[in-house]
Parts: sequence; structure tokens; C-alpha cells
Amino acid sequence: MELYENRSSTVEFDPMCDKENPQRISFEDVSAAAFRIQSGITKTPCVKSHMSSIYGMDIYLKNDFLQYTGSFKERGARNALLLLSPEAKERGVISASLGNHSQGLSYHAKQLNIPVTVVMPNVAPIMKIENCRSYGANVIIHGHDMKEAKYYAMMLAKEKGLVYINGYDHPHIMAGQGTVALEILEQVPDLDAVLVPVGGGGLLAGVVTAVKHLKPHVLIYGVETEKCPSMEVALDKGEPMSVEIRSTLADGLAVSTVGYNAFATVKSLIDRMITVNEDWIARAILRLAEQEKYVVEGGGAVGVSAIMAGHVPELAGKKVVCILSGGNIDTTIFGRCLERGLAAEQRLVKFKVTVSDRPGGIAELCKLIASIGVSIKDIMQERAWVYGDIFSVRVKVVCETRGPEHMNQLRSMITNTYKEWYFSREPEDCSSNRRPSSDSLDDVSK
Amino acid sequence: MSRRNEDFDELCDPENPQIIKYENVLEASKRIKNFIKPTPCTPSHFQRESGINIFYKLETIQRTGSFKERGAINALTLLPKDNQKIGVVVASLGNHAMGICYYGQKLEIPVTVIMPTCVPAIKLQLCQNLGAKVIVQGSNLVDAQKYARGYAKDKGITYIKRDYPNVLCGYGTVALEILDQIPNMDAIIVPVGSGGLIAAVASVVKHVKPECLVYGVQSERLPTFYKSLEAGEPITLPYEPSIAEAIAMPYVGVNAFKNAQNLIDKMLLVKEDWIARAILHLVETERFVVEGAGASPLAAILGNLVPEFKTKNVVCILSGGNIDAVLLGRSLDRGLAAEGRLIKFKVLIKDFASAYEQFMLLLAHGGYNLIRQFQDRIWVENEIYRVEVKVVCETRGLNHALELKRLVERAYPNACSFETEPFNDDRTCPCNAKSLKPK
Repeated sequence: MELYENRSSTVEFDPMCDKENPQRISFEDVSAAAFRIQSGITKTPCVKSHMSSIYGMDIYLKNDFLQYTGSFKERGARNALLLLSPEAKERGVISASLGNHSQGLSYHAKQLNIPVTVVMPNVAPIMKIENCRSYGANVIIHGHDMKEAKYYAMMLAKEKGLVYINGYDHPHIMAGQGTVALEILEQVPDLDAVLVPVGGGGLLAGVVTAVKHLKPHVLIYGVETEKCPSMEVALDKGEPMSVEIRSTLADGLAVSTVGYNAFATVKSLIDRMITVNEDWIARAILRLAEQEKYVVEGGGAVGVSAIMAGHVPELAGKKVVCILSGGNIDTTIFGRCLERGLAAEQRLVKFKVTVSDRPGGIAELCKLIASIGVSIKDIMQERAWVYGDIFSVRVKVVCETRGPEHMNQLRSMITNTYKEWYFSREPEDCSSNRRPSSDSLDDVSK
Repeated sequence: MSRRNEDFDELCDPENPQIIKYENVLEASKRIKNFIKPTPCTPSHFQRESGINIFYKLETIQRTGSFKERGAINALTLLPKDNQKIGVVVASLGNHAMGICYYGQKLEIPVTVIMPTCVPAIKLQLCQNLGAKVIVQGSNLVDAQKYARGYAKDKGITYIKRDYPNVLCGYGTVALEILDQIPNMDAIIVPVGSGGLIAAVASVVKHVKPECLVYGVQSERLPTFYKSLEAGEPITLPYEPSIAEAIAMPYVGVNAFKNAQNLIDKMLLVKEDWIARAILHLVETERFVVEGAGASPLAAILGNLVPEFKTKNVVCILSGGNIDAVLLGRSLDRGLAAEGRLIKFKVLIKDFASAYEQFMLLLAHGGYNLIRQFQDRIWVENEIYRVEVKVVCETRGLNHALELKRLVERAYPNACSFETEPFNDDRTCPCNAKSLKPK
């Protein structure tokens, strides 16, 4: 399987992830990986979701966010580490990653006594840096984005003779990620489809290899975020192409070019690629927290968002497994996702209304809102920018409702009582044409 | 004091409390097997730091999000067929009602729920969605219960109270599962509200494995069971809101108290802040959403109340996960503040753009993330050209926060104030363990 030719032309050349020489993995690689890593990886539960009845299909959730470092990346990391030659193990490994791969690699390298270095750009979240350090890795902060960090990491690799392990395209990594599919096939033997989150394509490659070998009739759908549809573009153009990365809730999937090996493995086997709108990702995170009581990161929730957004009507009545790939979400971002989800479900409503500036004007507004059981989260007044009437004040209100009908009730009450009002989001139903995701994560607080 | 009037409930009689029998719990576990699968009892990822081998019993993933289902399904299936057709009534603010509604719907038993007027709209909605008829009556839970009993007598339907023996036996099944899953368990920490869960768990555990310790934990806001144990009999306290809303009970169950009284080894009281920190910890480290009540066993560990458990195998029952998104967000923020990762302070700087920029750079270089700021120019005494900036920012932890304090104090001497935690000396010593040995 491995072909190493001595073509060390540039620093960026990674012999295991070579565009000219893409490597596909085979089923044997995946099943060998399963044996190899089993002592160090948790076999996570695959449970039936409480939401199944709402969406008319049997939804199963593969809880790979319950792995020790919070994501499935450990599988590939451990496999790759165990397959290193003894000299390589002595010298050590290095990788550039913003999150889950570096954590998984650090944790298992420490367990296997292999020196590990991780390079992260300076935009890396504090918690992820601290976590890698606490797992025992040598963490270097370098560069303003992943590209610079990766370049630096590869340079260090050549200087110090370390092995660079690409987090999604290395064949050993892909084989390791595929072991999750073997577990799924054992836990839900009569499944009909699997929804797989796609970033660089490593997980998709592993899963599609394993499943299509054993049960070719099972549908494999890849799910990406609208903000970074690298696999969709690659499949469209016939080769991996670079896509502009925009800020996304699914930061674990923000990879601008899918892996060459992953693409080569995936392109003929995958059944469908889906992209989801960011709002649905926030709603899925909220749903998973409130109903299933799981904390899942954006990238892990894309499968559920595809179902919630109604992108898979053909799977109605079928058994569908969603891989919840990770739970490493920064706590502040988690709080904001909950708010975004509530706003998208119209349980958090923001509107502006002009009321009289005399004493009692605002009190009356509050009384009106409370009379239908709506609770006020935030209220702010603006005076200087109200045209015309000097005795009026514009009030911005953020309040909590029970859902769309309750919100409509609030809306009609406000529109009937006041002359000037503005509701910041017009209600929409999921079948109408999708609004493109906005670029700001802070939409609610604007 | 027996009162032979409409308040008298033969299954909940203070003169004649019902004892939970182990055999009944075993039967209950057979009975509910078709409806409830054993929940996982997973080891925590927190072993190294705490020194305790913590296991979490995940009742959060039950269908209605809490362990109350076990009692509900046992009580419902034990009803004679005729009573099942006529229906049941319950008085509850949350988890108990949802358990009964869900299984009532499944077994086609009509369910009526009496909720007091202070019920949040969403809980009402959830019960209605599960097919129950909801009547809002009574200003608090005790009044709602009284009304429910009267309603049951009038309509001839069965009233199911959470203190009833059938319900308690259902709760006990969680202990059977734990004993099976963690055979070498040394201790178990149980959240305590009206006491039903701990009574059932203690009855089972002390029967099978008497050397295993059973600790109860309550919020110090409303320590009804704790005070009852002290007094030797059930007492009531005025209601206080708490972050652990499901265990904020102003009264204790009569049967529960009788059963638990001599079996509990220790009763712990935790601060509200520790509960917030526990919720935060479970979200960040274990990736579970747990409600305040369910997080209270971990809160006791975080508050350092149980140093005697180091190196021991301790099971924490995460009793439920029904926390709504808004409260979850707030608890997470509260937890961050309690850990010093979210701090608030005031600084007086010159009202020029350059001074402002300098201050912001100071924060940025230290690696502090600015969350919110508010500028006050009006209430600044004697200083026309200064502005007071109130800042909320994010830090890496307590040490990082203290470093910020030093940095700002050095750069703006006598012009800043760090009044709120973690900078004030108000944090009491965490060795707040109160123990109550059986008499």
C-alpha cells in the first residue's frame, strides 16, 4: 500500500498525501486498524434518538463525541501511531491542527510514549491549546492561519526528522477513522443509511470503504456546511479544489481543500453530498442539547441538521445512523449556538418598537408582553436616532416565546397596538428557498 | 398527628409510613424491563484531578430526561385495569409529571396534571404535547397537591404521589442497575429533593451491600431533608428558588423520610455556585447536559466536601437533564464566573481614543478576550475628562484572572476596582461538610 519515492522537492511535499499519487485505502486496512486500536479506543454507544418519531425515520446516534479527547479523531491517530517504525517512534511525530486531531494525537502519543509536537495558529481557542499541553504534547503557536502553521510544521518535520501526520488524508488515519463504521454495522445491523460529517474527507473515506465492502446497499451521504463545501466542489470539478473558508459554527469541518487520498477513495463510492445552512447547525446543537442531553460541536451536528432541514425526504421510514463526530465546542460558542438555535426556532425574538417617552410608556409595553406569557430577556432604549417625534423612544426588546405560534401572537399584538415596529426576522418555513448563512456569528446580539 | 379529614392519604400517612421492601424493587425491575433499558454508568474523565474514581449513572438519557420515569411506569403498570381506564392525576412541576404523561400516553391511560400558577410555560406545553390534560391551580406545589387529591376523590380517579410505595420501588431499580454495573462500588452520592430517590437507593444498597456508603446532597438554599434529619421528623421550609430546581422541595416525603432516616450515612449541602460549576464541568469535560439537581453530586466533589473518597469508587447519580436552553446558558456563565474564567471589573481611563486603544491593547496582549463593556461618563465624580469603563472579559483560569488584576492595577493605579468574585475575600472555606450520623 505504501509507496515512498524520493521526491523531496518542496517543504510542503508530504509523501503520504501526494496529489500525483493518491492512495486509496482498502477494507483490509480498516479491519486491521480495528484490531490494532481496540485496546485504546472506546467502543461508543449507538443509541436510538428520541427525535425519531418527529422526523418519521429511525434515527440512531453514534456517540463518538464520548471518546476521551472528545472526538473520533483518536481512532485514526492511534492507528497511525501504532503503525510507525520503531525509529520513527523514537524521533517523534508532528502535526498542524486546530483542534480535534491534535488532541487525539497528543493523548495517544503520550500513552504510547512517542514524543509529539503540535503546531497551532494564533487563532486557536485557548481551551484546545491547554488541552494539548495537558495531554503532554509540545505545543508551538505559529502563524495566523492553518496554512502558515502547516508550513511551519512541515519545515520542522524535515529539520528534525519527525514524521508529519496529516489529520485527514494520511492513509493510516483514514483506515483508523473507518473503524467507527465497523462498530456501527455491528450495533445497527439492519441500517439503511449513514450520514457522515465531511471536513477533509478522512472520516467519509474510511466509512465508505468499510460499509460499501460489507453492505453495498447501505446509502452513505456526506454532509458539509454551506460555508465550506470543499467536497461538493471537488466532486463537481473532478479533483480537490481550494475553497474559501468562511467563519462557521462547524469549525472542525473548515478545511479548504479535501484530501487527495480521501477524494480518490470517496469519489466513486459515495451516494450523495449534502450542504446545510448554518442556522440548521445551530438548531441541531440546541436540539441535541435539549432533547438528547448531549453536547455536540457544530461539525458533529451536521448530520442531524440535514435531517432537521428536510434534506433527506427519501430516507423517511428508514433506519438512519448519524455520526456525532465530536463534542469539543468552546463553552462561550456553545452558549451562543443555543441562542442562535432558539432564535432560529423563534423561541427568542428580537423586535424594535417606538413607544411614548413619558413615564409609563415602557411599563405598558412590558405589561402587554407579559400578558401573553412572554418573558423579556433584554430591553434597550435608543433616543437620538428616532426621527420626527421628540417625545418617543425606540425600544429594542429581546424576549422568549414558546414557539412560532406564540411568536405570531406576540407579533400581531405589537402590530395592532403600536404604529411603528420592526421585527428583525420574518418567519419562514423550511420548505421556502433557503436564506444563505449570514457571516456573523453574533446575529442575535446585533 | 393523624388528621382524618380530606388531607388523609393512607399511602402517605405520617403515623404509618410504608417501608420499601427489597423484593418489591426486584419485582419492579422485572416489570419495567420492557419499557426502560438500563442506562450506562460510565467512568468520568476527571479521575486525575480529583483523585476519586467517579462513575456517572446517566439518567439524563431516559426518554423523558430523568429517572422519575422508573417510578411512573411501575406505578402505572401496577394499577388495576379498571383504574387504568378511568385515568390518573398528578401534581407536579416537572419531571414526575412528564414521566407519568409519557407512559400514560403509551399505555393509553388518561392523565390529568395539576400545576401551580408559577409553572413555566414550556413545562405546561410539554405535558400537553404528551397528551395530558393540564389544570393550573394553586399558588404553590403543596396547594396543587391538595387540589389534586380533592380532584381525584371527586372524579374517582387515582392520585399518584411521588412518595407512594409503588413509585419509590420503581426508583429503586436504578440502584439495582448500579450494583450490577459497578460491583466494587464504595460509595454513592444521590441528589435529594423530597427524598424519594435516596430512600429507594439506600434501601436497596444497604440491603445488598451494607458497607457501601450512601450520601445525599441538597442545595444549601433549601435544605429541607437535611433539617428534617436534624429534627428527627419531616419539616417544611418556605420555598426558595434554586439553580437545582428539581430538588428545591419545601417539604419531604413521609415514606421517603422514614425509609431514609436510618440508612443515609451523610447529608451534604452544596453552594449554588458549585452546582453551576458542576454543570459547566459536565458540559465541557464529559459533554453531557445535566440539570442543576443532577449535577449536585458532582458539585459536592468539586466543593471538596468528600475528601474521604480519594482513591475510592464513587457513583454519582446524574438524576436528570431537563434544563431549558436559557437556564443552561445562564448556568454556564455562572460557572465560568465562579471559576474566575469570566471576570468583571471597572477602570477609569482618560476619555481619548488613544487611551482607550492602550487599554484594549493591554487586554489583548495578556490574551484576555473582551466580552462586554459599558462606558459611563455621567457618574464619574470630579473628573470631567475621564470615563469609567466596566469590562467583562474571558480568562484562561483563576491565575490568569489574578494576573490581569496585577496588570491593570499597575497600569492604572488607584483607578480601578475589582470588587466581584473571585477577587473579593468572600469565598468561604470549602470544608463545609455537615455530617449527620444516624442516632
